[in-house]
Order: sequence, then structure tokens, then C-alpha cells
Amino acid sequence: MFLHLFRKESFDQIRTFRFGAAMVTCTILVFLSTWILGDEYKESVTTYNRLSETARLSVQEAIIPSRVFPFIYMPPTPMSIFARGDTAHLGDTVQIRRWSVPDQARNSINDNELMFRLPTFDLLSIYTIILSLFGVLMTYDLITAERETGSLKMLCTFPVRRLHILAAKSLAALLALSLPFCISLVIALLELQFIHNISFTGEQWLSIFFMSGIMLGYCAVFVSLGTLASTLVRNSSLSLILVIFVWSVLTIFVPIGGTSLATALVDLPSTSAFVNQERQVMDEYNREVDGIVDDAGSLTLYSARGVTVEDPQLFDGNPNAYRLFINYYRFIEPRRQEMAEYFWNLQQHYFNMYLQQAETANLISSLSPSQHLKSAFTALSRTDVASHRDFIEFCRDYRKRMLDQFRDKGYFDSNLTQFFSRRDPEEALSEEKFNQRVNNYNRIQEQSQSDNEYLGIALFGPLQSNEIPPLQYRLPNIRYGPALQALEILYIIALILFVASSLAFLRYDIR
Amino acid sequence: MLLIARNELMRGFKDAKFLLLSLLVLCAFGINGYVYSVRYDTQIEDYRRVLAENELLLNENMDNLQNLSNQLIKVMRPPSPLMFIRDGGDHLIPDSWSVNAFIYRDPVRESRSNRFLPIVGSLDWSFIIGTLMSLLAILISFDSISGEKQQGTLRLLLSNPLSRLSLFFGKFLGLIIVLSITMICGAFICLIIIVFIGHIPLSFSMVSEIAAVLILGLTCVVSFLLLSLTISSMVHNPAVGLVNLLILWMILGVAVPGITRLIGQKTVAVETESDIERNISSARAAISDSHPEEAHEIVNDPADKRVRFRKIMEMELLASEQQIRDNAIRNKIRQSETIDLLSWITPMGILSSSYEKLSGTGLTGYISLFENAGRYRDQLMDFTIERDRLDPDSPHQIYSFGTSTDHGVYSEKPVELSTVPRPQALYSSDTQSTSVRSPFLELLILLIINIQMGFLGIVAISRYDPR
Repeated sequence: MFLHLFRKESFDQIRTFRFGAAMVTCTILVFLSTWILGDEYKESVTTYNRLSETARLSVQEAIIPSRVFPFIYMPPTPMSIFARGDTAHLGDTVQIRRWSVPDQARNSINDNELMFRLPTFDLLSIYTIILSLFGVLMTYDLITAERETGSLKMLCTFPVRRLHILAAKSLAALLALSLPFCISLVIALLELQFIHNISFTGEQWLSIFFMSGIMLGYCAVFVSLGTLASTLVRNSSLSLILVIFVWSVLTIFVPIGGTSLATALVDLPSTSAFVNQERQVMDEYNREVDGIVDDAGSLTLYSARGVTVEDPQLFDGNPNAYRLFINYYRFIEPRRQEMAEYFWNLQQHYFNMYLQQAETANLISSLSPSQHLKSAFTALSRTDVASHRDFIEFCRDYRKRMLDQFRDKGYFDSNLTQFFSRRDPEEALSEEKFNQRVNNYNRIQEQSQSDNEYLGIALFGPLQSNEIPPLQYRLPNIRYGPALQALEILYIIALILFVASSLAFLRYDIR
Repeated sequence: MLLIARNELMRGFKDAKFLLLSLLVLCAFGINGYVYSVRYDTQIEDYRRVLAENELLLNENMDNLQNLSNQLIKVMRPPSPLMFIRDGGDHLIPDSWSVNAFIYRDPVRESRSNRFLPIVGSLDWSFIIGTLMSLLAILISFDSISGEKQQGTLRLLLSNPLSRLSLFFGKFLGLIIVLSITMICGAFICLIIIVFIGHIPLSFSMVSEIAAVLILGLTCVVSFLLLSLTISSMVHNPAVGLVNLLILWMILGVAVPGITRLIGQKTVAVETESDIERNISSARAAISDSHPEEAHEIVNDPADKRVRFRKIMEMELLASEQQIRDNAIRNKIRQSETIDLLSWITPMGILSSSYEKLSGTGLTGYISLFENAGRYRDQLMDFTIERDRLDPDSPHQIYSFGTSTDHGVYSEKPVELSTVPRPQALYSSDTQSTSVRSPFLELLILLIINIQMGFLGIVAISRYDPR
């Protein structure tokens, strides 16, 4: 009897106008956005490949280890079509410098910061609004419409429990709601596979499967919400108003209001204390540099212009350059690395406050089911804040490994000369060999047609790429925690709402 | 017609749905007032900090014109008092440029902002009026005509000596009064909170801007009202009408802005940072090569004639770098402006765009900041040239090599601190000019939309079958 009822209700739901509207709207919007986002993803992959190659080459062109400032790029993921998340505006590029600890990323692949303030448009945002809206629109008159037409009395004369009636209707509505979702998802996947040639890994297919399950839970919440409204009031229009009101609060008002409120409730500390401390430390450092390194004026000039001791122009002008650089790096290098750690520790305080404010915003917004959906989707797509922090953590760790590798090679003490020069120290320090070097340089410059930058490579050859750890960023494992949590919460809420509506229906006056 | 209007008015106020939703709208206005008061306070604090840092920098370097003209002063955009009207996504956009007499570069965000916050809209007036109140307009009027038909009272109404047109406009008038009362109450609550609890300095000159904001908002909401009445007089079942209206509202509010962003991004190309750096270094190499040997030598004697060659080359290098950077920024601005223009498809988009221009935040603020950075650089250069001219001992070779110790060869005399131009001066006269660009075009377009909707509604109700 239950199955019979369920089948009847399903057919009824599918034959309504709103089901058709849901199907059409969903498929069209998903098709359009997948098209555009798929294109965008392909472009970003091309850019990423180009930039990675450039990064690899630039390590070789640096010629000497002290001029190596590698770039690490976060690879784009096709899952960002599903949930763009926060990584898009938080950045995907970090340049590793010995003298500063990475804590922020810049954008190379998507480069207009004026874009970030505009709302994202991915499958997540489409589904969040459409499925929840149609979920409530399909169920707000589940009971009240039958009561108004008079068929409820007839229905209740059948030898079926009221609970079964309500369950059949609810589940039929859920099935009808999940059809637009499933069909549009299949269309999107087919489009990505065959039109854009984007394929997913096994892990990503698992994520997509997981996302579908969570999406079903999200639909179930709104279906149960509509059912509850329908069993609480006695006429359709009142139920409709109630349901639209709750929907607009949950889906529209709470996420936006929550974020705005969090910015007012949690204060961000002023950076003036940090700026002052930073200036004090830099002033002290500058004084020490002036005092200890002789002729530091011209040295900073040279290093600011990117001229290295390999540059013959420097040698033409100053035969003592080599000795100057030895003193310079012996003092500067450990000092600046120490300062880098110090500044980073200062910044942690502010960093934690920022995260706390973001956590508060998420907490307030989690009154709405859409927040749980979003955190699940972004965690599964690896586009959430935690994934960004993983990336930054990797870059920090990379810097440490690079410095350790340099330290192991003795670049900061016994082998210091190898750090800033490829020349043989004996030859470089010798006064007699000075003129020989100048002649050698003039000869090579006449012979090679390349400009100054690549003269270094002509003179000394490229730097070996094994001087630094490999530049590839490996994505960490997917964190299933938020997704499991969202799954639990959404289904539990849906269940609670359904139980409440069945209790209300049991006491419902069907006359 | 007036009777209908009054009837509608009374009905509106007693309606549960109207009360619930308008309560939501009023809450939203209240929260908006509180949130932006707090935000303004923190941003003003940061602004003052940056001004103080500038003063410190000028103080430390006033004894040497050369040093002074090379110091990077921060030109920062002051927080807009009308930011509660349109947030503009400011917390992600740069709000200051580093400027000296030679170059302006490195736009950054000086005011504290949290990049980890989720990017959802903000609870500003353009959201409350554009999105929430348009939803309210839809919900109180979707069953105006079709609901009456369903109840059977439409036949009774039309049997009176009442033209269909006056029925339509009677309902329209009643509902418009209801909506405008809500809007004015909400605006009032928000302004009370801002003026008395917060510290935003709202002056009388802003009254006209706030009035413009309210009028534009009302026009936008009215367009949805007319849409809703039109659809109500086209369908026979209010539920179908509501579904249609909600779909339209959702598409206009959510889908269209998203799609226009993606389209706009594709139509205008923007350079990446690495492209810019590459362009700069190749331009520098080309210019360097085109200059004689003497220009490249670092000479310590100011009387040496090679200094003159060097000056010409360095200034050319600087100018080309500045131009490349400026073009990159202009491209980004153009891309954003394209997207902004595309958003004029929807009434909410027109509203947001006009609110941004009125409040001076977002893209508008960024553009004016960029222009002011250029202006301030010119002011500093003029100041340097003039002071240098007054110094008889100076060789007058004004050039700079960025921020390193190799300065040009010109006056090193002290200057009078009060004569140095300050970036704040650009903004005290600028606020007048931004509001000169009044939103007549936007108002006109919204009115045209309203009139078209009105015609459609008249046609619909004339052909409506009331049985």
C-alpha cells in the first residue's frame, strides 16, 4: 500500500508545473555555468603549465644559489567547477625567499583583484538556491492542498497509517526534487568529459559521489521543512508564506548577515604595534649593516640592482668586490633569516585573529543548512581555507628544506663563496688574474650575441636544478571530516523536521 | 481608485506575511547600521595611523630635499561615510598606493581586513533594498489579482463602476505606499543607529545623496512590484504565478550577476604580475641599450657631464615602467567596468552600480584612488622641481633610481614641513567631485523599465478573464 501511494504521489509531483520549472531552470543554468567554468579551468591549466615551466627554467638561469627565488604554484583543480571556494581569491603563488617566511599567497592564474569582491558562480551556488527553493515549493501544500480539495478525507479512510501517508508524500517530493539535480549533474559531467575533455581521478569521483549524497541530505532538509509547514497550518497560502519566509532567512539572510555581523563582533587588532616593532628592528639592522660591512653603500646598490659578483661590470669597477661579498653574506645571511622568523612570530598573533573572525562568521552562518553544504563541498574539492593553509604550510616547509639543503652544502659557513659565486676563490681573489678576467669577459661579450642577463649562462653555465628541492606541490589528502559532519547534520535535521511534521499530522484536523 | 488603494493599504498592514517580512527587513537595516558603524570606526583608526606614519616619514626627511622626494608616502583612500549604502567588496581591494616624486606603485590594502572571510554579499543597502525588499514586493503582491480571482471577489469588484485600469493602479498605489513606508522606517532606524550610536559623520550635504539612494531604491522595488502585478494578472492560479516570479527573481538576483562576471572576464584580457614584470624588464633593457655608455656609469662627482646622460636615461626608464604599470591597472579597471556595465541587465544591477557611484566605494573608490596617486606624484615632482630651482648650489639633475642610495644630483637643502603637499588635501576637495556625477541615467533607465512593466500590466489586466 505504501509503495502504491508512493508511486502515485511521485507521478503527481512530476506532472506539476513547478517540477517542470525546476527541471528546466536547473539544467539550463548548470549547462551554461559548466560550459563557462570548464573553459576557464582549461585556460588556468595552460597558464599553470606555462608558469611551472618558467619557474623551473628561472632556477637554472639564476646561475648561483644566492639568486634562487623559486616560485611554487598551486595547481588548478577541476573540482573548482563544483565549488570555487576560497582558494581562488586567497592566491596560488608563493615566491620562496630566504629572508621572509611565506604566510600569504599571490594570484598568478586569475589576476584581477577587483574581481574577488564579486560573488562566485559555481555549481554549489546554483544548487544551494534552486534546490532549496523548489524543495519548499514542492512540499508547502503537501497536506493543505489535499485538505482544501477535500481528498484528504478520502485518503485517510484507506487502511493506511497517517505516518505512511506523510512518508510517501515526502519521499515522493524528495524523489521529484532529486531528479533535476541528478539529471543536471549527469549533463554537467558529460559536458566536461566530452566537450572540454576534462577527466577526474578516482579520488575526485569519490568526492563527487559524496557530494551527491550530501546534496540529497540538503534537499531532504527543505522537503521536510515544507512538509512541516504544511502540517502546521490549515491553508496553503499561509503555509506558502511561512515557508518562503523561512527559506529566505536560511538561504539568503543568514549567510550574508552572519558574515557581516562577525566583522562587527570580533575585532581585528590594529597593525600599528606590529608596524612599529618592524620599523625598530629594521632600523637597528640597518645601523648594524652600516657599521659592520665596509663600503656597504655600494654593495647594497649592486645587490639592489640584481648585480652579482659574477657581473663583470662589478669587477671592472671594483677588484675588492669578492671580499666585500664574503663579509656581506657572512653577516647578512644568518641575521636576515633570524629576523624573518621573528617577524613571522609577530604576525602569527594577527593571523590567529583573522582565522578566529572567519570561524565566527562560519559559526553564525551554520544556522543555515547552506553553510554546511558549502563547507562540505569546499572541503571535498580542496578549495577551502584549510587547503589554502596546507599550501602555505607546504611553502614554509619547502623554504626550510631549501635552507637546510644550503646549510648542508656549507653555503652559510665553510663553503660561503660557492653561495654567491661560481668562480674559483683563488682566481677571484687574485689581483693578477683581475685583468685576465676583464679581457675574458670582453671577448665573450663580443662573441655571444646575447644580452647581459644570459651572459652569465654563457660564462658559467646554468645552475643545476638539484640545488633546491623539487618544486612540485603535491595536493594533500582530502579531509573528509567536514563532509561527514555535514552529512550527519543535514540528515539529522531532515529527520527531526520529519518527525515533528508527522507528530503534527497525527493531530491534524482533516475536515 | 483611491478606495481600492486604501483597502489595499489596510490589507497590507494586517497581513501576516507582510509583517513577518518587513520585520526581517527592519532587522536587516538595524544590523546594517551597527555593523557599518563599527567598520567605519576601525577604518578611520587605520586611516589616521597611515597619516601619522606619513607625517613621521616627512619629519625624518625634511632636512634633505633629495631624501624627502624619494620617500614613499602612502596615498590612502579615506573610508567613505556612506559605505553602509554599498560595501563594494572593499575589504579585498587595495586602498593605498606608495608614492614619491618619481613613481607610484604597489597598491595594497592598508586598512585591516580579513581575507579569510567567505565572499558572500554584504548586508548593505543595495542588498537589503535590491534583494530583500524586491522579494518583499513580490510576496505581498503575487496574489493581488489572481488571488482575488481564486477567492471569487474579483468578479464582485469588477461589477462595480470601476475601470480595470483604476483597479490595477489602485492596488499598485496601495502597495507602493506600504513598501515605501517600510523602506523609510528601515532607513530611519539605520540612520539613527549610525548617527547616535556610531561615529560616522553624516553631514547635511549627504541628505541629498541619501534621498537619491532612497528614490533609486524605491524605483527598483517598484519594478518588481509591477512585474509581480503583471504576472498576477496573467495567470489564474497564484501559486503558479509565485513560482514564476521566484524563478525570475532568482535568475535576476543570482544567476545573471554570476554569468555577467564570467562573460566580462573573458571579453577583456588582463595581464598577470609575471607578464608585467617581463614587460618592464624588456622595456628597461631596450631603453638601456639605446643610451650611450656614459649613461650607465655610476659617477660620484656631480659636476661630471656623464651625470646628465644618466639622468635622461633613468627618467626614461622610470616613465616607461610607470606607463606599463598604469596600463595594466587600467586594463583591470576596464575589465571591472565591463562587468559592471553588463550588470545593468537587471534592476538590482543598476541599483548596485548607482549605489557604488554615490557612496564612492568599490570600483569607483579604486579609480579615484588611482587617479589621486598620479596627481600626488605630480604634485611632489612639482614641489621638488620648485624647491630645487630656489637652491643656487644645486646641479639641478633631478632623477632617482627607485629606492636605493643612488639618488640624483640635486638640492639637498632642508624644506619647510608645512609647504610639502599632503595626500589628504586631494580628498577633501575630491569628495565634492565624486557626488557631482549624479545617477540620472540610472534613474531614467529604471523609470523606463517601470513604465514598460506598467504597460505590460495594463495590457494583461485588460485581457484578464475574471470568471
